[in-house]
Amino acid sequence: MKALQIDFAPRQRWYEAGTDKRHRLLWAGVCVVMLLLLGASVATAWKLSHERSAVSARVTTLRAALEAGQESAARSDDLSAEAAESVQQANQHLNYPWANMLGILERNAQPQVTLMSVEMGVVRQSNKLVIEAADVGAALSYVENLRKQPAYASLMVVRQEKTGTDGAQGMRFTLEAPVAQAPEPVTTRADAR
Amino acid sequence: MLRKLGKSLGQSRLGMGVGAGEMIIVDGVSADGARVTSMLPLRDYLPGASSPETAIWEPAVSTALAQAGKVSGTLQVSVSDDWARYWLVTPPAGLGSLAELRALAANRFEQLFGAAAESWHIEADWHDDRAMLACALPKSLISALNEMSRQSSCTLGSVVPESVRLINGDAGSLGNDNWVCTFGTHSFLALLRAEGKLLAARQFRFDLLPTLPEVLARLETEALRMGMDMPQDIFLLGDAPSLVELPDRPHLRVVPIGRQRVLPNPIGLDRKTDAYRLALYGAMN
Repeated sequence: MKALQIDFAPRQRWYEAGTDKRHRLLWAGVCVVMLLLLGASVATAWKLSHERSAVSARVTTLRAALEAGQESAARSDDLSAEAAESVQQANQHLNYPWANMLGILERNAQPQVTLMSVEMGVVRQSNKLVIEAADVGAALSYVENLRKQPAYASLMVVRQEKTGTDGAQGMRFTLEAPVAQAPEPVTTRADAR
Repeated sequence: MLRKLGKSLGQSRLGMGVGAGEMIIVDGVSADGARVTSMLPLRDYLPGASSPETAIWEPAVSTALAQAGKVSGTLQVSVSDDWARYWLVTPPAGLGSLAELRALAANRFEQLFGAAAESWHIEADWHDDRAMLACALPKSLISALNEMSRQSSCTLGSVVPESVRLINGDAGSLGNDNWVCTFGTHSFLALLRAEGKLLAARQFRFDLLPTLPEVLARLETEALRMGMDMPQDIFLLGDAPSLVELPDRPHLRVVPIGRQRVLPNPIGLDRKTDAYRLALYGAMN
């Protein structure tokens, strides 16, 4: 049998459970406090959400910058120091104004001096000339003439040897000049003509 | 303020019993017994007590509450069937609204009891598709309880007549085809049910508790008057007659419900009155 739904008490809502004014005021106070707490919670949540958005944007920016920096570093790391130096040296070697240097040597050529070889030392960063002269005086005169050129201002005699085993007179000199400063372009004879 | 808030949130359960001749408030039931905080003889505090229509309940209710002292909680009121009227309401086809059904119940009340429905508060187990039990309590009693609830720290939890308390307390134990009889101090209510539907509701008045054969004779007469077969099961609730006098009726099965329950002893009262029993219904259930 189902229970009989017969009750003579008035139906009360939960907020009417308190029956006197004090209880109703108490409930009203509780409701106000709850509303205030709810409002504070919503405000805090909104503020936290706002700050979170700002922090998120900042993180995105920093992450993009970091990734860009990493890519740049990776690109620079692709070339080792030795390879970079070799490339630099090769580049310097290729860019050396050979025509200017040869023009200087051509203009200072002397009958008593024979230019045997011209060599560019890659490692030593020097320009090595090998000449043969009939005597020391002619060789020194050749050297003095070359030193008047800025590119050969520091030209030094680094080796000297006697040539000719069949009784003929002759001396071989090895000259070396640093090539820190490349010879400036000058007007060659052909250009003058 | 916090203490008041806690009190209003965790209110204790108070039981008020409005008996035939007294009113009792029970505040808390423990293993030691039930603490009776108020006991009021109605003959001294109920003007016009000779009739439910003329009784003025405000003095009795307010005095009982004042006697109880500073109590707060949810008040469960159980009213003796001496103050209640029961009848059957059968809704007609095409019923439009609950107000219409209420008007029908009030009209039926006036036909049956010859009293003006304005003086009574009518409630029923409202349905629009089957017959239902209706009940009326004096309107002045309900008004006095509501006023007491407004002016005190007590909340009026329920106001339920005795028979409804008894039936609802053991509704799960009752079948669907039977007589259900609830016994009060000066009356018993008999409900005839078949297949779960209520077929008849009769309230029998008595000065002395009838014997079981007398009760069965009244039930058989009522079934005969209704043109119904006597159901096999008869459930007895409340202070029912003793089964010692059960007549030899092999086709009947009389089942007392709740008789084995022992009510806790009252603290502050020397005997278990009907009002005390009613107050316990509210305080314990």
